[in-house]
Amino acid sequence: MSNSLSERVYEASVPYLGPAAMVFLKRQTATHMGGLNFEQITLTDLPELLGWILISGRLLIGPKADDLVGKLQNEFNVRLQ
Amino acid sequence: MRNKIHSLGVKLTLSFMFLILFVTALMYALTLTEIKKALKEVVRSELSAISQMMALELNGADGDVMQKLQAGDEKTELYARIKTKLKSFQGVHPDIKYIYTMKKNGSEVQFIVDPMYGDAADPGAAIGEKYADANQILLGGFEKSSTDADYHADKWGTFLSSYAPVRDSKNELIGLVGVDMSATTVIQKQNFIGMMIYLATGIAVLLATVIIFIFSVTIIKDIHKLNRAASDISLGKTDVEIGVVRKDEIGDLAESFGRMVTSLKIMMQK
Repeated sequence: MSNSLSERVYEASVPYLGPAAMVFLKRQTATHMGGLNFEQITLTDLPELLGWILISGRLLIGPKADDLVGKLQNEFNVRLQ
Repeated sequence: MRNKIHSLGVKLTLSFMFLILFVTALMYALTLTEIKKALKEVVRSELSAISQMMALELNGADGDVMQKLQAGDEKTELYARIKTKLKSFQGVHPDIKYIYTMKKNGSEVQFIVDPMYGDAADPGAAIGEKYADANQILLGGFEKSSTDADYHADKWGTFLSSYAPVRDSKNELIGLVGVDMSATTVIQKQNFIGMMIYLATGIAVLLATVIIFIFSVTIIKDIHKLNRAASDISLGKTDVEIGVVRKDEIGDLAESFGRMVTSLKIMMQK
């Protein structure tokens, strides 16, 4: 069962990453954050997750990844780690 | 390879070009008749003004002279005076073919001074020569200014004419002054306007075609980019650059397409 935080991150990511946004986000937490389940993330995990979204996202969507991360930072009022 | 004739650019350009041609041709056909009518009205007004101005010039002393002139007076100084005046007036208005004075003798209309009299190439009428083709407009000119509504023909040609009464020094009506503009001149003026409209329409169609062509080329160029990207992806090449940045529907399509490609890349990554 996903929490509201992961749902909000997913919803914000869909306009940039499309329907595979969930796969992308799950891959970031599982691969780079010690096997963390994306659906279980908390606010304290968010700065690290945003950092990985920025790095991996730039490879996929270029400068639009910065937009996405900026949007998430504003929405959750967090800074990159 | 698709034939060029089936390309969207050619279809768009041709469709708009035919549409513009159709609309302008329709406008041309509808307005030309009205413009020709309006031009004829302008010419009539011009003729009327000229005949009235000439009548004002002749009113008074010249009117007295005209009244005195009899057949055979063509060599006299008085005749020459009126003739010179008419000719000089004609010189100021080169579109006027003939300018002359007439009087009524009973029911008969006779010439008084026709400046063309004695001209070998275009012989005019002598004093007292009967004018056989007097119509109601001309007869009305002995009373008040009157102008032909349509062309009339006589042995000198086909004309649009205007007449204005001439008075002597006692303010008595003694005759009229007539001005003729050749129908050919009027028709030439009308044709000139028609040609100008035709030319302006042609230039407008040409410009519109060029603008539509450029417009369609820019659209087609971006559609080609999207098409190439789709083709590459369909062949397994996910590292594609769409490169379409627009603020219209094609821009929206490119953005959606880009999102789809991103998703595809994510799904294809292990």
